[in-house]
Amino acid sequence: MNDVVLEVEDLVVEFDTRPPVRAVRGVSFQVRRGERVGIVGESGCGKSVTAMALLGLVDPPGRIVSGSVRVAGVEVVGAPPRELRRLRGKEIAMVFQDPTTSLNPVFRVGRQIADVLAYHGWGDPRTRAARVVELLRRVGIPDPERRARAYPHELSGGMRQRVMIAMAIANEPAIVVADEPTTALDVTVEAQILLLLDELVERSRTAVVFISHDLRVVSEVCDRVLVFYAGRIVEEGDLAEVFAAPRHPYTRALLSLAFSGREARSSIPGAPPDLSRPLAGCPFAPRCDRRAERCDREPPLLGDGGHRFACWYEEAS
Amino acid sequence: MNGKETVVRGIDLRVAFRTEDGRRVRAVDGVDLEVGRGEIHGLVGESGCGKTTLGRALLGLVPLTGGRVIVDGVDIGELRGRRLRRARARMQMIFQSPWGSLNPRMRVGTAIAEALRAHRRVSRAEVRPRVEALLAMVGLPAEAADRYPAAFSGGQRQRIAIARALAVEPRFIVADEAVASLDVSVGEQILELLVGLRDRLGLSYLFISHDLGVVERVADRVTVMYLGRVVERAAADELFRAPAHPYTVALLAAAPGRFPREVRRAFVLSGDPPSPVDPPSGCVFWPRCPVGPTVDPSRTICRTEVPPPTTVGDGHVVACHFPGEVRLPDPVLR
Repeated sequence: MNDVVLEVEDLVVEFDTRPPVRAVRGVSFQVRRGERVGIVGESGCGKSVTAMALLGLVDPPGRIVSGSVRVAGVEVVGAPPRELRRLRGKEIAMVFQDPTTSLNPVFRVGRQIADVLAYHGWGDPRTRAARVVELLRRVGIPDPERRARAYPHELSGGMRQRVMIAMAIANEPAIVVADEPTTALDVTVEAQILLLLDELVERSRTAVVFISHDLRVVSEVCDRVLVFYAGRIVEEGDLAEVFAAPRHPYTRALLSLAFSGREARSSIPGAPPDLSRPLAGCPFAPRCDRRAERCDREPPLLGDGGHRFACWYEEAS
Repeated sequence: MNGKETVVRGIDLRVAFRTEDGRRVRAVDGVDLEVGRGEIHGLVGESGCGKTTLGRALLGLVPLTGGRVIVDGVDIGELRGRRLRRARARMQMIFQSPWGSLNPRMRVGTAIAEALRAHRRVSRAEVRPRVEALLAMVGLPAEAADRYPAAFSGGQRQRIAIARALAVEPRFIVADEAVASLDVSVGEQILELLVGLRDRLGLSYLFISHDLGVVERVADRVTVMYLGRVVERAAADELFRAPAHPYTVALLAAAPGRFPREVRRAFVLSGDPPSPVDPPSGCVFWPRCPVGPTVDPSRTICRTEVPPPTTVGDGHVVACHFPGEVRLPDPVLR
């Protein structure tokens, strides 16, 4: 079982706002070496907060109430800052939606990648410079010797995102967390970046946790999918299996919105629940067309096995 | 146009800007566009292609450097004063961010009433019932009028923005990325609302979006833009089934989830969309074109001559010297 590079157990994250908001409500999952896992859900479902928790980046007013996150066997929750800095970049790295905010505008991009290598003790300045050029070439940047000397603003959005990916894979981490990495890009550039991620993972043993609001995008890069709703996982399984036979009504609705043409549209009425309140039953019940009396009283459990889902109705059938 | 009456027509529209360093950008470069009564006309393209500028040009929100806009048979460039205001009131815009179009310090009812009064004399007694009727039209309760925008979710705010646009009884609405910042389930509710209003009120839309899936769902016809020019136009089902311009093919292949990975890999474009400040000569798409001169050097015509619009089917027009050469396999619908 040492194949598992990421283990999340019963993670609960709360924001100490007024009123307090419980954004993540008991999430558990595992990621194996080289696996590509998609986390999908709509805004406020807890997917990005979960991503931040994986890197120990939940800052006040956010707070991890309970649970555990183990990256390459090391506990992240409650870890001292030194330990977290060692983990980040070396074992787990992140690619954000907007590369302009995560690249430093006053340093050349090559220098920024070299810094990440140096921080984790990779080689000497000369071998690092060569490694930077090799990394830029690997992420498909033409003329990498010259581009290494560019400042972020001199590159297009797609190129900047490639630089971020080069930086994330620089130290060959066990896991790359990509939070909406293509959402800010044009569709033809998005296609390039998704293919790049796909190729990079195929050639390495790096696992990818890919967070997106868009099931269509997730379907391009992932082997397994976790569907989040109201701070919980409502369905999890092999991508092909979940897409072919979704069990949770929410997953089914999302799939129909993402993939059906104009004839078979079915919108979901209402809105997700207010996460500043406790949830007695199934969080999706108020919007569900199969709601039964039990759904309002008891929260359905996710269950076991490769294809898990949290729905009373499906259990009964 | 299937004998349908035209509500808005743009003829050879041109819009140019100057950048800060004084260079000229032709954001819209000779575009013809017609929107029929009750039509939802999709306008797609990537950032910088000029789609938003075109929408604003039709509404008279940016000055034209060339061309004319005809609304209900009248050239609005020739109208002045009250007649111009009245013509403009027939056209409204819905934006991506409902935050930007609503004043946070103004109650929703006041904001809608303001729009009501801007174009028509309305007596005090008439205002409240009219506001409530507009709110009902977009699926909001009458009490919404007494609250501030902050009390509403993104989807509800977009409904309020739509109610405000409807206040002047427009015939034509430019919806610019109207669902882009909303979650899919909420976005779908707004799409249903927009289509329902078209059916009930006979509205026409120019529906601008970067998301082909959304456009496929609502549009009757689709225009594809690249770097300020129209590259293809067809009925929606024809365009999605049999695109004839290599750029349209690449856009469809790139749209996530439509095709298996191998197809995407085969059709993915290299490079970024070029800058509109310094567009390529001839066909603006040639540097990235999979059947253009970078692949077949004998095709010098692509570099030297702007391809004229060619009709390849009923109402299907494509601006390409070699249309229909790149073909897509049938999409996989899950």
